Amino acid sequence: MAKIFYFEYIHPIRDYFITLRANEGLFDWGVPFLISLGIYLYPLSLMDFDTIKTINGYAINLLAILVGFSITSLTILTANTSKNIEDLRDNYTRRSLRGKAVSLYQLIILNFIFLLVMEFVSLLYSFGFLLLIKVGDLMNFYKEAFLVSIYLITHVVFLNIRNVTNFYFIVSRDE
Amino acid sequence: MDTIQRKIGFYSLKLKRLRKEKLYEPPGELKKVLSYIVKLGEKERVIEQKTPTSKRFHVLRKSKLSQDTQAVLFISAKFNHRPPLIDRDTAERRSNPKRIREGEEELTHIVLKYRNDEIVVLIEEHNPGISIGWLAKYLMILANSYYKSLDAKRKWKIETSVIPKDNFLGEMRKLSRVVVGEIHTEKKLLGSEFLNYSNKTEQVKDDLVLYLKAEKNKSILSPLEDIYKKYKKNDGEIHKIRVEGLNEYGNRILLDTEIIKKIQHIDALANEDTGVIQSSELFRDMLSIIREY
Repeated sequence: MAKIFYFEYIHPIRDYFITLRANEGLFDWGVPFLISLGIYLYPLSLMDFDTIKTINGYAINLLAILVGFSITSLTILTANTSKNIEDLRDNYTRRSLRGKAVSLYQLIILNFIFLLVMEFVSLLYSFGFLLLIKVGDLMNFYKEAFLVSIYLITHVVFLNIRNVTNFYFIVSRDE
Repeated sequence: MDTIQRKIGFYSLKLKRLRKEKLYEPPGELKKVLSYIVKLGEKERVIEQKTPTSKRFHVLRKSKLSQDTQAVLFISAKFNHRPPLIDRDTAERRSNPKRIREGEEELTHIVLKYRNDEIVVLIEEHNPGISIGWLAKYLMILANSYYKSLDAKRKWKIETSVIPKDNFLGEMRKLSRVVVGEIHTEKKLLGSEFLNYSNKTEQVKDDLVLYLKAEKNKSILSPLEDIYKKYKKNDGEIHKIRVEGLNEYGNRILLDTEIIKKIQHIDALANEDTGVIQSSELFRDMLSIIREY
């Protein structure tokens, strides 16, 4: 099956979950869930389809900008030869992958790659949202379908917050 | 000739591999680093120590290797500090003639003994000199330079541990009841790895303290024995253990690995004119102590 279909994109996703700590998981997944639930329970219930369609358009723009930002950050990390970035390779965490300790460098690259994957997934969903709700009776559930989009966007924003915070710690390291 | 009493601290150094936990570089690697440092010009050996309250620098002045022991002399000086001078007899003050970038030379005498799996260090402990922590930093900074000259990278870091008395465990076992245990561990437990990497937790007090308290009429000897074994492993996680218990007479006994550490004092001869210690005499005494290990 692997010869016909490409499955290797699973690796960074799997590695992300293996190295994820409980408090980080709560921040990346739990808090966006609560926010999305809050939005669903109140503001979303008051919106009509046209409003949601407009917001979806803005969401696509937002995600496109975030993708650009993430790629730029990744480029800075991989191309930079400053001491703070070089030292990341020699600093090891207590997290491990396949029996080997994970360095800070590997960890931050992994988090950015996963973020990019989720941004692409969110973009794809946002584009596909309008097509999706045309399928069968899904139009009756357009708010629930849009909720998934809200959740993905919030999740991506929170992932960005955590990655940018780690990036800040790296570049502003005290000697 | 005056004599000055000098406190001597006993420590163990290990070169822990960066890539792999529980793997150590042979202690002899440090000999190579030290011989590289000695070949550098004096200016290249200057490393600055910046703290919020003062600026000082350290220089490895000389080193002498003899089989498995090495005598090392460090010079430290505090600069950016040029207060007026005041005479002890007349209380007269005068301007300090030294330049702002100069400081009084303070010597620290250090003796190393290379064993199979560790380096035993005797270090003269006095505030103006270099501490064991800064000695480790100094050596790692110049080790980076050494490896860079070989187109390589330093793949280890220095772990320092205090050498406690052998009978800390014995003394603890003698207690009829162990009531409280205080375990001082690294503050690294406080934040994420990236937060720790940023060194922004420096202003937080160094140790994270874990307290163990026994229930009424019970003793916590067993978990503390395990913790002490981990402390003795020198993996750097546990800095200090303090134990409070009761002996057979119901008296409170306090055991502290910091206090129990081997501190000896040596009477060193000092120059009458300058008050500076005679290095050759002090090194001779320190070497005779370390040869007992």
